[in-house]
Amino acid sequence: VSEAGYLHVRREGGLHIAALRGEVPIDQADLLRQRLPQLVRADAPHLFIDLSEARFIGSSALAAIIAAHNEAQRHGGRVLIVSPQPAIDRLLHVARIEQIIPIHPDLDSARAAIQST
Amino acid sequence: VVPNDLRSAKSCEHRILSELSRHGYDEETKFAIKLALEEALTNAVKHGNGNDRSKKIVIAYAVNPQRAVLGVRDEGNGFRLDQLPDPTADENLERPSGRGIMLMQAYMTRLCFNDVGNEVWMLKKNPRGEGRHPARQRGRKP
Repeated sequence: VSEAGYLHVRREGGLHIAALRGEVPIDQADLLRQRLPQLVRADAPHLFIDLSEARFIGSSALAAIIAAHNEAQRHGGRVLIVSPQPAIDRLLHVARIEQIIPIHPDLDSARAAIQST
Repeated sequence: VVPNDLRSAKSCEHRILSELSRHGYDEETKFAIKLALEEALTNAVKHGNGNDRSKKIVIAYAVNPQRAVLGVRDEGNGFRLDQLPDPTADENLERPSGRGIMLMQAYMTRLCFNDVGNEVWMLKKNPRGEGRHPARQRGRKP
């Protein structure tokens, strides 16, 4: 489901997949900060954040991802980042996000990680 | 001078990014400048001016093929850089906020604040513009 030009969400069993596409506009980042944690619920505690089509995110989007990670932990779930483009992958490493949120090369790898836990 | 809201800031950001494209900056450098500029604008609107719509932010920029210089000032009371927690420290990694200044420092060539802390200036050298500086070209050996 397209929730905004930059955010597309779909449910897959016990998890949601949130795909960020293009750029998260500077004046929309607060909405993302509200929305991502809402996707983590007791009946769907895992969240994949698919960045394969994201061209730009800033610290506000990072804050949204970390807020979702914290919410997932409260529900016994996990947030996994999937397939970031090189520029965003570098950003995640500069901010050391990969220390708390695993980064997977594709959705199948992320699904396997969830199934193995 | 623009109103203290991120929509107004976004239109100014578009103008600056267009200037970078016009001067031949590559995507990696534009990503860095866009990131730092958005962090500065967000800090000014939210933290400096406290989302007060009666306040203004001042944005200044100069772009040439060798470098981009950007300045952002708000009407707030500023902050002390040395009092900010390190967002990359293990104990702070799960705090959602507080990464903006660190990212500006990481992605820009140079970053400085005025004494109050309500004005930031940022410099980014264009890696592709090095050979296009007339003085450098004159000084180069054949």
